[in-house]
Amino acid sequence: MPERKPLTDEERAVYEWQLWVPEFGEAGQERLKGASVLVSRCGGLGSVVAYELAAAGVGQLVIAHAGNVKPSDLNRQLLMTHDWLGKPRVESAERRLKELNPRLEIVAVGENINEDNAAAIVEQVDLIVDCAPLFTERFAMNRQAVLQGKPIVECAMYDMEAQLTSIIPGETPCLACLHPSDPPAWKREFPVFGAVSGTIGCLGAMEAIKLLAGLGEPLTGRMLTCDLRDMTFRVRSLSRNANCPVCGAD
Amino acid sequence: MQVTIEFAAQLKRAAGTAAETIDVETGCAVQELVAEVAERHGDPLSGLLLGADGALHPSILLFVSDEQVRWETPRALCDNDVVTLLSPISGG
Repeated sequence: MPERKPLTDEERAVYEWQLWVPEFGEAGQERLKGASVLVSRCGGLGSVVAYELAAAGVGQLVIAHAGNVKPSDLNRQLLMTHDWLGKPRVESAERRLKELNPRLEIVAVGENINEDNAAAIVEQVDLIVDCAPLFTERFAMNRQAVLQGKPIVECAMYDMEAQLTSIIPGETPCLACLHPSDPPAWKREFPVFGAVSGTIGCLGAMEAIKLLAGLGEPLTGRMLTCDLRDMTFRVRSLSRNANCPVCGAD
Repeated sequence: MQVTIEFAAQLKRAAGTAAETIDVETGCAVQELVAEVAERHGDPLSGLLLGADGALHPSILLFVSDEQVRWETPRALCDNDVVTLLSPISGG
């Protein structure tokens, strides 16, 4: 759990409504203020995760996302704006987050996570929210999270469906327990609405807040699956892989 | 006895349905059911589900009544069980 940082009177005023949440209060808010969270990437899911964590008063966000804003980003990547087309995504994200919460510290990384940069980036944070589209970068984050003992919130979507789970290294299945190798059928671009990424992004941000503040019952060892076509929400139990090459449960 | 098998994400598209109810013999293992469904549907569903060795592709998650089942652990089905196959998805 992150170190607590004392609140200013201005912060007590801004976060007043969530300070009223039972089991959260000023101690929970101080933990959020003392926390650093990696959001990788700031696309459809990550934009909403970062925006909600900024609004909630997380002290520092490390946002990692390569490339420039494209027209096809704008149906769901809510930190990207029309006037920023052709310019770096991470700059658009930083600008929008600062507009919302000028107290927020942002470390903007204009790269996607990979095997070379994952260790140094993961070292800077207390928790990771994985919103990345490619399994290679997700596996790199997972490996470092397990090595460094950092929790990860895993967010995923496709069409009108979504999956969400929280990983505590050594206690729950890690990403490689669930998906030990690059899935051959997964494609980088896929059908999705912004309202689907927004829904699962909010749920992912709530999981991060719960883990940072020690609040409620996170989805540890469990997976929420949602199908927004028929509004089916289910929670399923997961099991560790005793032969996992990353977290090696045995 | 009857069981229901559900398909999610790309598997749903490949199967052409979100779920189907199937008659199986008492004591049927979930592994036998998945192999039978893959054979009946053929490709593309079969190719997404099973590897060349006939085992479930390791990145597919298998559940019986919302509890994850590992392919290497035989699991007998009961009447009215719901089997779910989740294909791996990501952010974007």
